[in-house]
Amino acid sequence: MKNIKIKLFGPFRKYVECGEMSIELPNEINVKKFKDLLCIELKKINNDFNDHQLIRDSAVATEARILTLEENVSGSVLAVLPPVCGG
Amino acid sequence: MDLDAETERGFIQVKVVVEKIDLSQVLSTQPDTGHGASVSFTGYVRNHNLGKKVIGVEYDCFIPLTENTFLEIAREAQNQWGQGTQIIIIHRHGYLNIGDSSVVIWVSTKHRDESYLASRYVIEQIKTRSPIWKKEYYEDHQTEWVRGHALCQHKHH
Repeated sequence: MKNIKIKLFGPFRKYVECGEMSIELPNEINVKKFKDLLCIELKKINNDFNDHQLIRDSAVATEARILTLEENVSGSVLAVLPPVCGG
Repeated sequence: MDLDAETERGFIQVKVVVEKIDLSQVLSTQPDTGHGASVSFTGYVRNHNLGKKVIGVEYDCFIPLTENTFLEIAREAQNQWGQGTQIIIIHRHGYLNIGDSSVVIWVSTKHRDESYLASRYVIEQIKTRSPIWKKEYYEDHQTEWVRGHALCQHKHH
């Protein structure tokens, strides 16, 4: 198992105001399974969290790039990126 | 001798800032002497959206990846409209009042058509690919995160 820092942005701040949480993850886990686990962990932190669609619509990234759904997560920090609206 | 190729030098400057964008400083950028056109685009916070009166917005941003994405978009523009294309992209982060500039794009190219096209390309790509989020503050004291474009999570072939 490894401890990963998760950064959360935009609409996720409704549930985790500081935008950061930690999760224990298996050494090998792909993005799709990580997102399933994230749903459970967010619910533990904030019981109001039920927006599974927001997780499905979110990408997972490192500081350098967005990971694909099938890719194993790596590094000690991951960012969860909901649908974007810059400009 | 290809004089254009010899004299034209492209550059890219990108940043995410908390402080107000100094528009006059951006507009005073001197284009390459081989360039005949520059175009600037500025996005402003407007006072209404979808029938609601907006009093301000807050931009949230994953800064390292946002700046990487800006660089990637600018390089794509150079690939399309010439390696000598000069591009500046600046985006705000944090709380903005109505009328504040949220994003500025400055592009310089040999001819005006490329400047307009590249500028349009950059802003459209920023809106759909950059990890930036907007929370609107309304007159009735409510707030709402604006739902935008999902980022691509699939492998590119």
